[in-house]
Amino acid sequence: MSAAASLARAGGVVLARATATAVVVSAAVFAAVSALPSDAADTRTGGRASAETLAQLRETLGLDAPLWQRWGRWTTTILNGDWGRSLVTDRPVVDLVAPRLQATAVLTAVAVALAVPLALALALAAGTTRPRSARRWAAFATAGAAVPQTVVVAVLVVVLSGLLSWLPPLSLLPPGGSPAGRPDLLVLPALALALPAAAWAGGLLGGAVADAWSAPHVRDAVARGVTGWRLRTRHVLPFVLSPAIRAVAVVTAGTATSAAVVETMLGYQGLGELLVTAVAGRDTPVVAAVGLIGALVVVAGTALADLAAAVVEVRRDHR
Amino acid sequence: MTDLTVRGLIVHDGRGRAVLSGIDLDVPAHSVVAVTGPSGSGKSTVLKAVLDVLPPGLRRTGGEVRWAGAPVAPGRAAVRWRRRCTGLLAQDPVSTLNPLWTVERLLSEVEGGADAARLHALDLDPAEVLQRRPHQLSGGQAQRVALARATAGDPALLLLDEPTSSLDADTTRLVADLVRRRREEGLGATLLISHDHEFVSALADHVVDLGSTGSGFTPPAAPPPEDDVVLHVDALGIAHPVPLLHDATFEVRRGELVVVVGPSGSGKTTLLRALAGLHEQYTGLVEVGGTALAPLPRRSREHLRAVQYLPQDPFAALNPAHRATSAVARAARVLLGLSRDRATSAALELLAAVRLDAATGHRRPRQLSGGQRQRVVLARALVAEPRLLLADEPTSALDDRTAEAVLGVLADHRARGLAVLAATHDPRLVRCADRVLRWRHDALSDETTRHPTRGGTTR
Repeated sequence: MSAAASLARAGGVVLARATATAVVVSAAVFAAVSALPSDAADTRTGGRASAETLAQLRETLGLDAPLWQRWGRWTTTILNGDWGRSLVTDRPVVDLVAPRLQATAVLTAVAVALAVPLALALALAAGTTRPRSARRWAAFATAGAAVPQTVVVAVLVVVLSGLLSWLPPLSLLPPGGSPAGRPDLLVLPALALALPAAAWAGGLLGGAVADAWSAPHVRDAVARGVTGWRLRTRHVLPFVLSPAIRAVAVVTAGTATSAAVVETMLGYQGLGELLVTAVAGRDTPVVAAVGLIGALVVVAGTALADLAAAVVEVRRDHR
Repeated sequence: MTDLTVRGLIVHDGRGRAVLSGIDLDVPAHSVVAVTGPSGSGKSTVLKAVLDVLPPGLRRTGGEVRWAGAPVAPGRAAVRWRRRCTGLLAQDPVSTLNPLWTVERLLSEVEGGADAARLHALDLDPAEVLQRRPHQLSGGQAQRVALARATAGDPALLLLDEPTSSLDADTTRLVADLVRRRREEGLGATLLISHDHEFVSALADHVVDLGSTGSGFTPPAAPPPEDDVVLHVDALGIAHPVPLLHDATFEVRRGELVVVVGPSGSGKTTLLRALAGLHEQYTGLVEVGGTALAPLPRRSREHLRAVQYLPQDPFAALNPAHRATSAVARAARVLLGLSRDRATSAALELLAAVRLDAATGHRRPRQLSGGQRQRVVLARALVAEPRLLLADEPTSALDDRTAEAVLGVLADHRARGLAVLAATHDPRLVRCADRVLRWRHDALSDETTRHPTRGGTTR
């Protein structure tokens, strides 16, 4: 098979898989939201309305139809570009989500930009051939990945803004303002997201790096006196590329969706913070929209990584 | 002067056993020194200890390496010395070349490496090989590419580990010329590891022997083959990746040893891989025991057992996590359905027959020498009691005594009906053969040696 044909085949498989995952994920998100105890009718009336009023309200909001019908209606309207209106504030979901999406996208980008070099450095350290030092770095990576995000945030706030007073303790964005104008507000949440992610990815890739180090051509290069960056960039890293691309994709998607904790703790008005508020208010369309966006980011990220890895592997197979 | 002096070199393994005890070595400038010894005697370990690149598990516990009078300290100083003053050709050249790189890039990693004259001197056509990647080279071509890289820049010390293991007589002569020229033109010293007595005695000024059991090879006797055809190949053609073979028809009978010889790069490995089911693009008919041989994924369990393949690079064919004995025992359990105990005793028995003791069987591939790995792979193939053995260079890394033992084991199995088709450059294996198929351009022609009445039926 030619390189182009195998690439097209791999691309087709990746796209089909991503589409199927997106459909399943949207159904799962919708089902999870519907399974929440109490609904928007309860929230709107503050729990004081009579059963009759509630039933009427449910009918106007379309909450009385069976689950699969509501899911079908919801997905068709979304595919038509209409994300619905918030059940609580009655504003269009798009207006609520768009600025939050931008804020979270910027935060995620900065966090990933910090995490990737950190993870690579950690992977190289944990995958070294000196067994004692390798064990130490691998333990460091495991410990780093195991620390709960809340603890990371707390420690960073105490050190960076409490003891050192370098940064504001909260990352409150100005109303309607974008995070691009206030880089100082991004530092705390980005670090809090990047450090555990880097530890996780670094520990994971350490194994791949160790495998690459023990490859015969790397041992031969060492015996010929090739060392340092020359050895790492030319003989070791090309063989870690494929797992690294996948790890970066998972880290990116994970950061985008797990930002909720960090955003809530630091008051950063991103998508995650919106999700937490919307769940508290049983604002189904908003929860579903945010949940779906998060899930789609994960699906798209993994698909991109699969494609990139397929390119690398096809190039290797057709060497 | 740029002399290498080694005094009292001691290497211990992880359990505190001495692998090398007190090796002395003198390589004066512009001389050729050879290290010989039986398979597993530590020839490659000497070279690795001198270079300070011992694999994990081995430690240099004593001794001194001096270069041009000054000691070479292990660590950074040794790295600098390796980069500036040495050129290395390691064992198993196919896997030591970076698999993603073209030959051109591989050679230009060393200054002056991609020099056309240097390739021509080793009978490599730059136009043909420069754009290929290691997996597109034959074993012999890869060895010569690695040699061209090792000699680029004319290093003051050239270290060659089995430089001719995949080469035929003509190319071996080219390598000998190259080493001789280094000495005559005063380009530098050469430290050579080889089990090939002829090659060593023709070249070396001085030989360091790590306990040889004597040279001289006596081919073990095997009964004449029976008339029963095991492998029948009819009009076999291989045109991919490049035209290699056209319309080959031959048979291998029960108990027969047929060797395929031909220049390096002619396609011997591809032929064996095609029969083993690892290279699917061929035309023609291949039958084993009267039934057509299907491609590997659709091959019946009986055929999987009956046809065993011995690859050229045994290191790549062994799972690095499995100990030698379990690798062999596993084949017996999977292919013959033996119980764990019976499989282990069958494995130990076969390993002993190819002169590997139980302690060696306990090691993992990385801790075995090149010749030991070659014998583990052979034992793994034979334990399945195949009808046909496809062997690619089964004796290339073996000294005379060990090669005798290995060929003796093959003779025993042939007496019980095993048919062997082997690709080789090794004259010792050719001497044992019932028939020789010689590769000329893209055709195989039969050269009958031992049993003229039984050969000759194929063209």
